[in-house]
Amino acid sequence: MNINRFSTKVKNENQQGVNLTNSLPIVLLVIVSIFILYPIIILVISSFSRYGHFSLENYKITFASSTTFKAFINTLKMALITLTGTWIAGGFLAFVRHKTDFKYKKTLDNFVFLSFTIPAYILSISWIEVLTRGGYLNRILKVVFPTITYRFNAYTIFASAIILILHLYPLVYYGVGNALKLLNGDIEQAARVCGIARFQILIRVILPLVMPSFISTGLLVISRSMANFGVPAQVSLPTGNEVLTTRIFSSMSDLNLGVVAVLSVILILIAVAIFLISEKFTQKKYYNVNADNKNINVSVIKLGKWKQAINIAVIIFFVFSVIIPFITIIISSFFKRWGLPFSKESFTISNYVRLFSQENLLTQPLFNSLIYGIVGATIASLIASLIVYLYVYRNNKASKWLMNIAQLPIAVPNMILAVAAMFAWINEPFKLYGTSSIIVITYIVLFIPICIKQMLGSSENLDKELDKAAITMNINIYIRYTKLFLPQIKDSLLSGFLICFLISLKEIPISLLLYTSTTKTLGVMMFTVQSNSYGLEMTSTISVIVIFFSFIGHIVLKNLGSKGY
Amino acid sequence: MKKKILLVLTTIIIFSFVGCNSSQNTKSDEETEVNDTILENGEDDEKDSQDRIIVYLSGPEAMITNLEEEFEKENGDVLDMNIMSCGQLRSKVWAESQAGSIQADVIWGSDPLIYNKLDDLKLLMPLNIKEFEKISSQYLWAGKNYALVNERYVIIMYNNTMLIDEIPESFADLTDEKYKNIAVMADASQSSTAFAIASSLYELMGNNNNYFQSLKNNGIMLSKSNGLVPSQIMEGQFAVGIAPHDSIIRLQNKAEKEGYEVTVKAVWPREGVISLQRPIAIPVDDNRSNKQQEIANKFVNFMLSKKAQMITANFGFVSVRNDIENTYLPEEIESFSVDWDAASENEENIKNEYQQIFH
Repeated sequence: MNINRFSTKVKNENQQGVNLTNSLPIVLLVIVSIFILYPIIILVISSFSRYGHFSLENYKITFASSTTFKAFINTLKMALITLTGTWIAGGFLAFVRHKTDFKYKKTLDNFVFLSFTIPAYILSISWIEVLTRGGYLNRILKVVFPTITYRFNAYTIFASAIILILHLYPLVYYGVGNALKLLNGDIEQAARVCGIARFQILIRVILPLVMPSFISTGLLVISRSMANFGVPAQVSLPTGNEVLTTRIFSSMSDLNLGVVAVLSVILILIAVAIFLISEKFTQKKYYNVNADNKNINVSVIKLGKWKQAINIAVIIFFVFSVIIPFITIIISSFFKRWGLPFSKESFTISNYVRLFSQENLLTQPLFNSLIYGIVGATIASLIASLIVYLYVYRNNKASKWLMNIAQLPIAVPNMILAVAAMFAWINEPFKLYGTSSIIVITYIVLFIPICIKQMLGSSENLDKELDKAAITMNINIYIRYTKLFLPQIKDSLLSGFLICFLISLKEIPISLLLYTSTTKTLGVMMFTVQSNSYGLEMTSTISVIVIFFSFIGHIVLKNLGSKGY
Repeated sequence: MKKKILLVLTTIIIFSFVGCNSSQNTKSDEETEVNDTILENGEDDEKDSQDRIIVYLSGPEAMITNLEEEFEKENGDVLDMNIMSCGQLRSKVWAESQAGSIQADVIWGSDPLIYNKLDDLKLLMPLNIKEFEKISSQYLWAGKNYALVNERYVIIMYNNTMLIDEIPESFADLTDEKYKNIAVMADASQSSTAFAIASSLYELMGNNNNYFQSLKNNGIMLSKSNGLVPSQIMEGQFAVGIAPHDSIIRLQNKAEKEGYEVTVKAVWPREGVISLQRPIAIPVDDNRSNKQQEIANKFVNFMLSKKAQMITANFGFVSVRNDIENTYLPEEIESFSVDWDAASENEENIKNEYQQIFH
C-alpha cells in the first residue's frame, strides 16, 4: 500500500466540506451543549445570584457554615470507603469470573445482576429492617437471649458506605469484566513463556491493562456515592451525620436555592478535579490490545486448593448482599404493618391487592418508569456510543471537547440535575417543566456519562488502525460505526443500556423534584409511600415489584442475544 | 471555513436561548402588551378548554382522595392533585416562584412560614371566603392573603410495649437519662413542619438552645419527616418521640380496619401543646383563565365548608369552623400557637444554631 495515498485519504475525509463525518461532531456538540451545558451554566449563574443581582453572598454563607465542612468530610469519607469496597468486591468477582476456572460463573453473573436490581434505597430499608432495634436480628436475639440490650448503632456514615458498596460494586464488576474479556491472550502467554510467575503476571501484566477500567468505573462509583441522597438520608441523617446531598436537600427545604447552587458547584468542581487527575493518570499508560477475538482470554487460572475458600467467600458475599436483603424485603411486604410480632394474624396479601387495585398507586408510575427508562437509556446509549467513537478514532480537539462536556454530569447529584433542569426548562420557548419530557431529558443527561464510562474502558483497547483501514476502502462513517465499531463494544453498550434502564426504575431525586400527578415514577412511589401513612411494609411491597420487573428486563435482554451478562 | 461558520452559528443559537431565558421577565411584559390584543382570545380559548386546576398539597392520600371525590361530584373532573410532603411542597413552590412562575393554581398544606414568604413577595391573591362567619376568630388572621384550613397539635408519643412504667409527661422529661438513645423527632433541616416545631420548642423552653443541646446529648435521633415519627415508634425502632397528634389518629383508624393493635400512645405534655396551622392560598398567575380562577375560588371555599372540614377532622385534623367540635384537645391542656412572625424573623438564627447542635 502507498502510505502517502493512505494518509491523504484519511486527511481528505477530514477536510471535505460539510458531510456526515464533519458535521457529526458539531451536531453532537450542539445537543450536549443544550441539554448538559446550558442547565449547568444556569446553575453556576444562580450560585452567583441573590435576589436577582450578582452577589458572592451565597458563597460567604455556605463556606462560613461548619455544617457544610462536616458534610464535606462525611461525603469524602463515605465515597472513599465505598470506592475501596467496590474495587475489592467488584474486581475480585470480575477476576474470579473471567480469569479462573470458577465453576459457577453464570450463577455469579446472575447474583451480581440481582445486586444491581435491588435499589440502594431499598438496601437501606432492608438494613434498617435487619439491624435496628426493631429489626429481625434483635428479634432473633431476644428469643435466644431474652435479657440482652441491643446496642448496635445502625445509623452511621459507615453504614451508608456499606450499603453503597453492596449496590455499586456491579459497576466495577461489569466494567473490569468487559476489559478482562477483551484482553489479548498473547501477552499473557508471552509472559508465561518468559517464566514470569502467575501472581507476577497478574500484577505486572493484567492489572495495568485493566487499570483504565478500574479508574473509569471508580470515578463513576465516587460520583454515584457522592450523589446518592436516599441512603444517607435513611441511615446517616438520623444521627446528624450529613453529607453534601442531604445538605443540599435541607438547603432546598430552607428555601436557600443560592446555597443549593453553591454546593452543587462544589460537587461539580470536585468531580472535574477527580476526572482530570484520572485522565492524566491513564494517558501515561497506553496499552495496545489486539481486537482479534481469536486469542482473547484463552488462559484461566486454576483455583486448585483455593477452590473451597473462594466458593465460600463468594457464597457469604452473596448471602449478605442479595439473599438476606431479598428475603427481608419479601417477608416485610406481607406484614400488615412492619414491626408487628411474628404471628399468623400479622401477615396479609392486602398490600399487593391494594397496589394493583388502587388507581395511580402502581400502574401509572410503573408505566412511566418503564417508558422513561427505555427512551432515556436508548437515546443516551446512542449519543454516548457516537461520542466514544469520535473520541477513540478521531481524538481531535472537537471530540475531546465533546467528551469533556458529555461527562460533566458525572458527579452532579441527581437532585441538582433536576434543579438545573427546572430552572432551564421552566420558561418559554422550551417550557418542558411539568411534562414527561423534562424527566426523560434529565435522565438522558444522567445516563450519557454512565454509558460512556461503560464503553470507554473497553474501547480504549481497540485497534485504531481498523477504522483507518476502512477509510482507505472508502467505507463511509455510517458503515464503520455500525458494522465495525458497534459490534466490538456491543457488550459494554448493552451493559450501559441495562444499567441506565435499571437506574431509571429505582431513581428517586430527579423524578421527586420534577414529577406531577401524571408523571409519577416508581422511585417517587417508593419515597413518598413511606412518608404518607404506610410503613416499611408498603415500601417493601413496591420494591418487590421493582425487582420483579428488573428481573424480567434481564431475561428479555438475554433472549435478545446480549452476551453482556 | 464552513466548519467555523457552523460552529459560530451554533454558539449564537445556544446563547440566544440563554439570553431569552435570562431576559424572560423583562421581555414578557412588553410581549404581553404587544401580543395581548392579537392572542388574548386565542389564549383564553386554549385555557378555557382545559378547565382544570393544579393543586399542590400535602396530607394523607386517603383524605385527599375523599376530598377530591366530594368536590368533583358537584364540579366535574377539574382537579389535578399533586400530593407531596410538607417539605417538598415548600421546596417546589419556592423553587418555582424563584424561577418565575408557580405552576399550581391552589396550594394547601405545609405551614404559614412559606405562605408569609410568598405573601411578602406579593405572589398570593386575596381570597374571597364565603362562610366567613363560620370560621373561629382565632383562625382569622388579618392582612394575610391565605386562609387557615385546619390545625394539629405537637405532642409526645411513645411505644407502650417498650415503655411501661417510665412514661414521659413533658417535653423536658425527654432530656432524662431514662430516654437516652431511644427518642426521635423530625429533622428541622429536612422538614418545614419540623422547623416550625423546633421554633416553638425554642420559644417554649426558654428562648435558648439549652433544650436542644440536652436532647442531642441524650442521643435523640432525627427522622426525615413528622409522619415517620409515629411509624418508627410503632415499628420499635424508637420508644418515644415528638410529632403532631393527627398521625396517631390515622394509625388507629388503619389498625382498626386491618385488625391489629396500635402500640403508639399519646401524651399531652405538661407544658402544653404546640398548635400548627395548615393554610391554603391561590398564587398569582396572569395566565390563569377565568374558569380556572372560578374553580380555584370554589375549591378554597369547599375546603372551608362543613363537608370538607368533617372529612379532615376524621383524619385527625382540628377544624377551623366554630360549628365543628374539637374532640382532640383535652380541656385541661393548654395550646400554644407558633408566633410565625417571630419564627420568620429568627428563621436564619434558629436554623444555624439547630444545625450546629444536631449536624
